[in-house]
Amino acid sequence: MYKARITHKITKIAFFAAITISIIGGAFAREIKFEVNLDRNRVALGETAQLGLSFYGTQNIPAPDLGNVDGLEIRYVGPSTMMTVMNGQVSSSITHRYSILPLKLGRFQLGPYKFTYKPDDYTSNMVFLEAVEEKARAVAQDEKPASERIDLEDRIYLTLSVDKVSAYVNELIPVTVKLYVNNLNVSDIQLPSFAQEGFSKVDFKEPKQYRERAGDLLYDVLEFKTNIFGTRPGDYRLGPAKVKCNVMVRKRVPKGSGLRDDFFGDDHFRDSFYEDFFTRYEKFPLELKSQDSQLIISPLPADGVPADFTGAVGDYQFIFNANPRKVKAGDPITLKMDINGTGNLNTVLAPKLEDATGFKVYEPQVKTEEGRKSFTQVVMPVTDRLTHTPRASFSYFDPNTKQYKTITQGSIPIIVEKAKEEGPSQVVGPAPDRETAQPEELSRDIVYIKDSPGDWARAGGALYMTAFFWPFMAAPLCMLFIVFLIERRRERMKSDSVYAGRIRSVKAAREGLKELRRRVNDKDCRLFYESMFLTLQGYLGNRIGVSPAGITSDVVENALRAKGIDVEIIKKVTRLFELCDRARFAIMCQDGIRMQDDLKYMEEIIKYLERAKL
Amino acid sequence: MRKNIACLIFCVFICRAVYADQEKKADPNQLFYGANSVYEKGDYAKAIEQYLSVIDSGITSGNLLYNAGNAFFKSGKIGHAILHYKKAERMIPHDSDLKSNLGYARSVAADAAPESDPAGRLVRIAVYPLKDLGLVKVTLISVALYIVTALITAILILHPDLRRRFLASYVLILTVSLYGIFVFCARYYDEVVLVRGIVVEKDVDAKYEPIDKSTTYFKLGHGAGVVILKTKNGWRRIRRSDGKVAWVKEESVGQI
Repeated sequence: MYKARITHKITKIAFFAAITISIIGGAFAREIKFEVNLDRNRVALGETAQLGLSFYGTQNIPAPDLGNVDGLEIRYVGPSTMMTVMNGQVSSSITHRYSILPLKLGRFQLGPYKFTYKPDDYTSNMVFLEAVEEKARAVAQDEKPASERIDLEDRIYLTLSVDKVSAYVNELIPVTVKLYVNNLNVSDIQLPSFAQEGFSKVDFKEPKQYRERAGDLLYDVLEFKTNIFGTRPGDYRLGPAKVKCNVMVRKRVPKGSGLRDDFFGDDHFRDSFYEDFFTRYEKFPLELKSQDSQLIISPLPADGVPADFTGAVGDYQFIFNANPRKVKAGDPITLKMDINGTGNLNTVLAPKLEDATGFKVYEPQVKTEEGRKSFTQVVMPVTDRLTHTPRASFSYFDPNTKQYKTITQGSIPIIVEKAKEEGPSQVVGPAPDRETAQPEELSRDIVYIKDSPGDWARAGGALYMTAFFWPFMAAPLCMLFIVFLIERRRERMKSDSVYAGRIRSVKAAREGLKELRRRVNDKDCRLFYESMFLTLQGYLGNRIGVSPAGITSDVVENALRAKGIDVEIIKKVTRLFELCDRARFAIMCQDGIRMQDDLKYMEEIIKYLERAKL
Repeated sequence: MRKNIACLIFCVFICRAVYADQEKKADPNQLFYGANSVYEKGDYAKAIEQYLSVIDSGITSGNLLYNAGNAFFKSGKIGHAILHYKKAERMIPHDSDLKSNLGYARSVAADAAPESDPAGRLVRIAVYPLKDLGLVKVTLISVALYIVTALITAILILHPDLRRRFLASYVLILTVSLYGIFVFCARYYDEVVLVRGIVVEKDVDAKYEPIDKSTTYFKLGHGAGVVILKTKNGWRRIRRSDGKVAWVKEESVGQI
C-alpha cells in the first residue's frame, strides 16, 4: 500500500518534470522570428489601423521605437503575449501593437524594421498602408482627381499670425493663434503654447469661436488672442505655436469577425446605418503645430530720453485730479492720476510728483483695468502757505511717431487753512458766572406698590403641597416596574420552554376545569368527557413538554414514569384517559353524580402534579 | 296665609345668612384695591392691616405680598418688609421691582446677616438657569418631563426594536428630565423642607435655652435670614448662616 503510494508520487513528479523540460527546451530550441502585420491595408482619413510587431519564440522583447513617418501619426497601444503547447512543441510570442492615424492621403510603407536586442539583430518584413478618402474606402474604384483629395492635415491645422514683423522693446505685439477644424470631432483642446524666449509671458484669453471658409472647405475656427512684448532687442523666431487636443477617430470592428458578419455578411447590408451602428470611436491624442514667425525687436532710441522715463511704450493720455481742494493743514488731499491708452500698461509706473515741497507724500495705490492704469496718491499739506497741488509728469515712447513724449498735469489750485491750534495744557479756574459741574446725586427709595393683585393662589395650595402629590409621583415608577415585569415574563416565555410550558399548563388546567364545571351543570355527558380529554391534553402536554395534539394515554404514562411519578397517580391518569375514551367513542354515558366525582378526581391529579417536580 | 308668612320669614333668614356669608368672605380684589387706596393716602398701618387680612383669609399673591412689604417698609418695620418681600419672591421671583425693593430693604437693614444657604456651590450653579421660575412652575415642568420620560421608557421596554432607533432622542429627554427633577428636588428642599425665617425685630437676643433668663448667645439684627429648626412654647430654635444654633422668641422671627 505504502509502496504503491510512493510509486504514484514519483510517476507524477516525473510527468511534470518531462512537461517542464520539454516546454523550456522547446522554448530555447526555437529561433526568434520578427514579423510586421497590419489589420487592414486600406484606411480612410479619420480612421486608424492597427500595426502589430510580432516576435515569435520569445516574450522578452521590449517595444521597438518606430520613429516618425511623414503623414502618419503613430501611437503605441501595448503588448500582448501568447504561449501555445501542441504535441509537446511550445511556441511563445509577443506582439507590440501600434495605432496608426494617417494625416494625409497616400500609400505608406511600414518597415522593414531593424531592431537590436541582446545582442541579436532582428529584421522584419514590410507592409503598406493606403490612406484613402472616406467615401473612397467604401467604393474603392470611385477614384477622385488628386486636386480634390483632402488630407487630415488639411482638415485640422493651426496657424500663428503676428500683427507686426518689427517692434520696439516693450511695445505690444498682438498675436493670434487659430485652430481650424473641418468636419472632425475634436475634444480636450488646450491653450496654445510656444517658446517665448526674449518675450513677455504669454497669457491667452478665452478663445473666440466662429466659422470661416478657406478654399472649398468650411472650418470651425477657435481664435486665441494675446499680446506679447519683447524684453530685449534682437531677431527672434516666434513659435511654432502648439496645441494639444484629442481627435475622436473611428475604429471599426474587423472585417469577417463578430456578430456583424454573421448577420450582415452581404455587402448590400453595409449601408451607412449599419456602418454607424458597428463603428466605435476612440480618442487619438494629437499635438498640432503651427508655422513660426520672424520678429525683429529694436531698442528704444537713445536720443531725447526724458529724465522721468520709466519704459512706458504706447500712446497714452494722462488725467490728473485732486480732492478735496479746501483743507486744513495736516488734512489729506487725494490725487487721482489715470493713464489711459493703447500701450503696454505693464511698464507704466506712477507719474513723478514735482514741486512737492510742503507736502507729505504717501505711497500710491495702483489699480489696472482694461486700457487704463489708475494711481491714487495721498498728499498732506503741512503748512497753510501752499496754494497749488504738486505737478505730476508722465513720459512715454510713442512707437507710431517714434518719439518720446512727456505729459505734465497738476498744479491745481487748493486752499489750505490753518490747522486748529492746540495750546499747551494749563489749569484754568472756574468761570465766575458758571457753576462747577458736580456729579448728580440720585436718591433712593423703594419702588411703588403694584396696581393689580396678580395671580391669586390659595396658601398651601401648591401642587407639591397637596396630599396626592407624592403618590402621584410614585405612580409612573410603579408603572415602569410593572412594565418591566411584564417584559421580563414575556422574554422568559420565549426563551425558557419549561417555564412557558408550566405557565401554559396552569392556564389550560384553570380554563379546562372551569369549562368542566359548566358541563357538569349542563349534565351533557359527551361534551363533559370531550372537554376533560382536551383539558388533560392541554395540561399534560404543556407540563411534560409534548405537543398537546400528540398526547395519548401511553405517551403520558411513559413520560410520567420517566419523571418518577408515583405509579398510583399514573394509573389514575391512565384511568381518566380510558374514561374519556369510553365516553367519547361509546354510547355509554355517566350520570351527573359520576361526572362530579370524575371532575374531583381530575382536580386531585392536577393538584398532585402541580406539587410534583416534572 | 300662615303658611305664606312662614315661607316669607324662612326666605328672609336664608337671604340674611347668605348675605352674612358673603360679607364674611369679602372679595380679595376689593380688599387689595382698598388697601392700595389707603396706602396711597399714607395710612400705612391701616394698609398693612388690610393686606394681612387678605393673607389671613388663605388667599395670597406675589403682588399682594410685595405691597404688604412696601407698607411695612414705609412704617419703618424693615424686618417685616424683608419677610414679605421674601415671601413674594417665591411667587414672583423674576419681578425687577421686587428685587430692587428687597435689595434696598436689606441695605437699609445694614445689620442684616447674610441669608442662610445650605446649598452647595454646584447645586446653586445647576439651579441658576431656572432661578426666575417659582417652585410651582418648576414643579409643573419637572412633573410633565417625568411623566413623559416614564411613558417613553415604558414604550422602549415593551418595544426593544425602537431602542436603537430613538436612543439619542431618549438620552436627551432623559437628561433634561433628570435635570428638571434635580432642580425641583433642590428647590423643594430649600423652600419646603428647610423652614426659613426672617428676623423681624431689631436686636433680637438669641439664647442658649428657651428661657427668658437664659444667657444670650448672640444677637440678630432685623432682616437676618435664619433656618427655623423647631417651634416650642413661644420660642423658635434657629440656625444662623454660620451654623450657630440658638433660641429666639417666636414673634421675633417670621416664617417665610
